Amino acid sequence: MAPGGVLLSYMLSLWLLLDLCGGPAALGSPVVEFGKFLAGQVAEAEGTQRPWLGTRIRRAAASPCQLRSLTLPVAELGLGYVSEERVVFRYCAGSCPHGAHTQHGLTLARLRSQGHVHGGPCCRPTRYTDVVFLDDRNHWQRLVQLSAAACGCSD
Amino acid sequence: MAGCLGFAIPLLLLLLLGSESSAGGNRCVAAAEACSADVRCQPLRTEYVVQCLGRATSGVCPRARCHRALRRFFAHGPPALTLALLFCPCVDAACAERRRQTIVPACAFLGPGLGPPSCLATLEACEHSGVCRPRLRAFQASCLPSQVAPDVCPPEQATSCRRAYASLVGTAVTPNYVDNESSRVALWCDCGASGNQHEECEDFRGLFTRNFCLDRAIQAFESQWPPTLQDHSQDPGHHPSQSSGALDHLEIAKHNLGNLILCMK
Repeated sequence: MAPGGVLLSYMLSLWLLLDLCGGPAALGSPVVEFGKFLAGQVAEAEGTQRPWLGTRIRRAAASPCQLRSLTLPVAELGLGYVSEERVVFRYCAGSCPHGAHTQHGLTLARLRSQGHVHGGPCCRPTRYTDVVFLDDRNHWQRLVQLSAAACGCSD
Repeated sequence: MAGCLGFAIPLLLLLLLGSESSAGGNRCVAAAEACSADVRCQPLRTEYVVQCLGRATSGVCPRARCHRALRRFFAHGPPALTLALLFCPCVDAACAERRRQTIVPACAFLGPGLGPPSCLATLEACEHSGVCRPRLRAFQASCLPSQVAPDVCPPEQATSCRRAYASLVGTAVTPNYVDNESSRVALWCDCGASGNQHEECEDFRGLFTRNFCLDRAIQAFESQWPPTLQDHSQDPGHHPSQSSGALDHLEIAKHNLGNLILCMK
């Protein structure tokens, strides 16, 4: 695939991240620790949809945080591999309720309501799985922890 | 208008994706994709590849774990998909090489040491294995012509022969394709050092290299292509469109183009 295609993929991924995590301020938030995910908010639905990216992004804001699935040619992963195979890439997207169950979450919610911080709870993977494929030279490749396996909302 | 613009970028990307032909007629690629799209097949395939690519402390691959994961793949995966991966018909070397690599032969097929062992040793190892012995029996029962009519391979046996062959993958008697030019299969063993048991050795080896019933059963798989790759009856959450192959991208691209035109108005 042409380098322009790879660039588009990166732009799309960046744009998706911005769109789903509530604005530019979210990029500055600290890396979420997966251990802090809330039992009540974990949405491990195995929902899969057709990869209509445009429609999906509009609906993602309305539907709850859940596991979603895309079938991509290996080149579209943007990792430099070449293969005839298409692989299934799962990710997390959707809205998270604004409630909080940890002290961090409570404080953050208060600061949000006062307008001191932006963004909200983020829909992120809680577990990942490997993806394997045969590349164009018929060598096996293993991409460790590439695809999401379960999703949750973090405070 | 901003919403419309946000629509356009992923759409353009999709059109780019849609213009690439996936699989392109390589049926082994199609089989791999069908397995990747299935919730039962995909994790089993990932597991055996991960195990067979692993490194034990001695630096060689963990053959026992690799074999166990392969047996699980064929035992628990949907047969239509697992057998399609093993027996995908090929017309060119690229497809045949991919087919040869399916079981990760560097770990699962080749043994430790510099050269293949004696087939007599392989046979003995299987006879002493509670896992291998019954599978070898089943293979001999369904992949050999009957005693009564030695020139005839009962056609109804082809399916059970293929399944019996698949059940040997991951045992002491693991067969594989020998090259990327034909559908010939063999074990990783030879009869060079078999002394006065040379004939017995060759008979055993011939179960794979000179078995016309097995050859026919493997080739007969082609007449059943495509297998029911859309068998998702046991998986309510799975969307059937995921395994419809190259048509997916074309339909998606057309639909989104329609949306974009509406958006532009």
